Amino acid sequence: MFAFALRRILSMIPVLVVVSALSFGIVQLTPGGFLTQYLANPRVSPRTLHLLEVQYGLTKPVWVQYLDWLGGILRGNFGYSFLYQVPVVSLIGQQLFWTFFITLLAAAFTWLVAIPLGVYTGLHPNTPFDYVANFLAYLAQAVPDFLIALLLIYFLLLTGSGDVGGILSAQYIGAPLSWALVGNLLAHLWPAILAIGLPGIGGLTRVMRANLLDVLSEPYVQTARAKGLANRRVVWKHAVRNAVNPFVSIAGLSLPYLFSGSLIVSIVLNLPTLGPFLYQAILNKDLYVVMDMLLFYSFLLQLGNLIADLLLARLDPRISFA
Amino acid sequence: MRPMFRASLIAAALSALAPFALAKTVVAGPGGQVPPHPLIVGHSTISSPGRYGGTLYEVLGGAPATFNIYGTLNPHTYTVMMHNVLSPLIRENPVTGALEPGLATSWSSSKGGLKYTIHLRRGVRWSDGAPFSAQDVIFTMRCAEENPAAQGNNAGAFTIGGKTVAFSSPNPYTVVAKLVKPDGSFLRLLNEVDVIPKHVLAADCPFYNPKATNAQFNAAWSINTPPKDIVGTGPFELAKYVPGQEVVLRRNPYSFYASTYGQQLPYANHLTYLIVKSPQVQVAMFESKQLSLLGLNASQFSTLKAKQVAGAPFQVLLAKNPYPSALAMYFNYNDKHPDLASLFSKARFRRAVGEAIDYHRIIDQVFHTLAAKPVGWISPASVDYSAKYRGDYGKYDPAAAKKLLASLGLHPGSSGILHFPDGKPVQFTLITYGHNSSDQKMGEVVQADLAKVGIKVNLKLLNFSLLIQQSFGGNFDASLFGFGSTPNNQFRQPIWQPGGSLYFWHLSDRVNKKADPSVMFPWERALYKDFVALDTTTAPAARSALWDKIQRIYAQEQPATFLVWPDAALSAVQSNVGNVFIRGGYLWAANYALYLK
Repeated sequence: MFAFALRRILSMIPVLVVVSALSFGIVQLTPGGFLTQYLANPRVSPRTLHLLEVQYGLTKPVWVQYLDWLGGILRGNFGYSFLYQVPVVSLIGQQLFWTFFITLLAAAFTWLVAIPLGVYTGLHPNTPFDYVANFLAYLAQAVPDFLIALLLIYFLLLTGSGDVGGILSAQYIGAPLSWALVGNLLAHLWPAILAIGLPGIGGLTRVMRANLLDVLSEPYVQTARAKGLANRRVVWKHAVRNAVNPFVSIAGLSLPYLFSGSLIVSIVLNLPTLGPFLYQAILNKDLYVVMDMLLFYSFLLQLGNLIADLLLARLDPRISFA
Repeated sequence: MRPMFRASLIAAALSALAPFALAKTVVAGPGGQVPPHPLIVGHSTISSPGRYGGTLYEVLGGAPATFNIYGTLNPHTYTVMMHNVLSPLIRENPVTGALEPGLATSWSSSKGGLKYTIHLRRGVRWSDGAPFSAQDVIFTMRCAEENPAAQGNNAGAFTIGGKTVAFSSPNPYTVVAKLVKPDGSFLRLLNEVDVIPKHVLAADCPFYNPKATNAQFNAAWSINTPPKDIVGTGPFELAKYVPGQEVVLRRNPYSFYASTYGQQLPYANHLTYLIVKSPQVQVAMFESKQLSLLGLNASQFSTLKAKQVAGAPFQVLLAKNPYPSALAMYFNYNDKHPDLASLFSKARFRRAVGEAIDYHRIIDQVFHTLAAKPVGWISPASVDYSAKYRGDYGKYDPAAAKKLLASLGLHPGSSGILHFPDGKPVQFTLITYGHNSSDQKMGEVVQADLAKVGIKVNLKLLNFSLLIQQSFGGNFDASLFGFGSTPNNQFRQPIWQPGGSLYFWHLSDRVNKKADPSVMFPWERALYKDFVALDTTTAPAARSALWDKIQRIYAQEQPATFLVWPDAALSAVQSNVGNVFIRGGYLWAANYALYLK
């Protein structure tokens, strides 16, 4: 297993280089640059523009800019933000905690609701509960997350709540940890978790239900039943354990999502996550912020896949590293 | 962009200060020390004596990029730092246009207008306790305002007669500025000079520390800098920045601002800017009392006004915005299609377009009736404005427009679309900012109205960066956006500067980035000549005559087709916030004067 993991980690390097080269090329192909927005400002003279181009290294050929950035990474320097004029790593680090915290809770909420619901509806197909759960799952999938967020804001205002928008009320932002702060955090957190998590519940419930129905009709499940095993053991040890395999892969692919957060929900609910930060960086053509973020997500995607593969091998004896 | 493009209605009302006069003894605010010569703020910004204490909550539409106003062009940085943490030398009253004291208490000029002597306020301290002196002004001019490598420099404006204005300090409380040519608007430039501390930033400026680089100066006072290292002479100082969430300012104990009621300002202990990007969430947070004060757009105004009328505990205010961004269309005189280039170059065509567009519909449908008919380039609030030419803008008369178009040799074909004499249809692409903006909605009205007079408009919606790139690259037929506004109309001189890049709709006067006046239209040359003459004209009557001439050319030639004058300043304030009021039609809400009742 160790050799397999090492091989996979080493194979990430060329993939990351190709991804970074492609990303750099695509960013360069899009029209405009960070300094384009300065053109319309009467205060910015052509001389100032030129000096800024030199300062940001934008007068060098594109391939030199790329190699400079890549070389910097090897030395631990991931580049500077044109807009903020601070190292990109410090900018990402500032937003990482809340992004991970919010999206991890939302993902946990999604899975903790979706898997039991999918199992139950799979075990009780075509019952009134199944129909209602299916309808709600379709509804959750069909309603965009930002609409859920807007409806929640409306609901909060209707109830006279003061906990609208953001992750904490102003007096608790940056304050030392206290029970009052935790209470305030929870009051702000539930709309975010609901808005981000609800659409996922619909999809995952449907997948779990369909997988379980498939597995339940497999010969080995029939055999287990014929052997006289308890229903609970048949369902949880033989059926659910096999039906859950695709979820491990889905979880692996979700790793970058945990660090990006939901873009539109974050904007609507004013959540301090990396999603809106990356969006602004793309709009501003803040080159190295965009590049570092894309590289980071690409790395997380590969890491998530590796973890999923290792987990699958652990869960499913049919899978080997050979 | 700095003041030229800033649309903050509240900030615009900040600088009404009573000239001179220490009315009575000033009592220090909590924990404060009153300087020997405080600046007494006039009744125009304070309607009643306030109470000390509490926190005011306002909103920022995005995170500040830095806290160095000279290392960025980020509007959120300006909102936080200007008028709050930093102070200008001289302030221009946004309503009267009068120059009023700031860090400077008085000023005088030599007879020929080549030397200005500026006397500074004595006893002012930076928020870290260090004394303020003329050396700080010299530092600000050298490292920031006149340094072309500083991102937020103003070197162009301080280059007069081809030479940078030379500043010197004969003593710690006097600054002398020497010009090689007289400039009638020189003192108004000082309204833009927010002084930064030499004792903190000198190590980052190459002129004071040979080891420092220009990049280092631009990167100074970044968002990673500890707040205690960011100091100013304004009423507040930086207390805390939580990335992406809030900026907290607290009372500057050394604030030199005081009210006519004898109280050191500010009243509030803290001023917190919450970073909220979504306008919907901003309104929701205001409704849930998380914000003390909020600027509004037209549709938010209607919604909140209805709630106020129904008994909500806040006030929704409608005031005048003296200097809104004038929204206009620009036609490319160098269009790649020769027919269009020739047509767009004719004032009669531009006038016809102006008369074909129903500005009432724009006011009603896009601005919910909260805007006025177009007035041209210069605000009626400006001392330079001439009402004589008001009738030349916003003349909705489609029949007259059709006649003008016919006089240009354009005649309708079978489909109703006008054709050039060579048979080609009259159609062009109008680029503007998308994202369901008011610009986009205006573009839709333009498209529909011009279709009625036989001109086919293809509307192309772009993001702002691309809009600016295509416009300033000359790669467009017609472009629609706001070119900003400014109380200082002379700042528009670079637009008409031959060879400059700002006159993007007639770039052929620029050959290899150098001027080629031979291809300029006579009216363009005349316009620029008048702007140049303003540089050296100081007598008010002569300046008025020049501004009148410029406005006559604007009206006759219609270099831009103005669509609307969005002069409404809309805001909402919680009922427990004092010293927010409308006087003379303008909103007064200076942060240092606000208090919690």
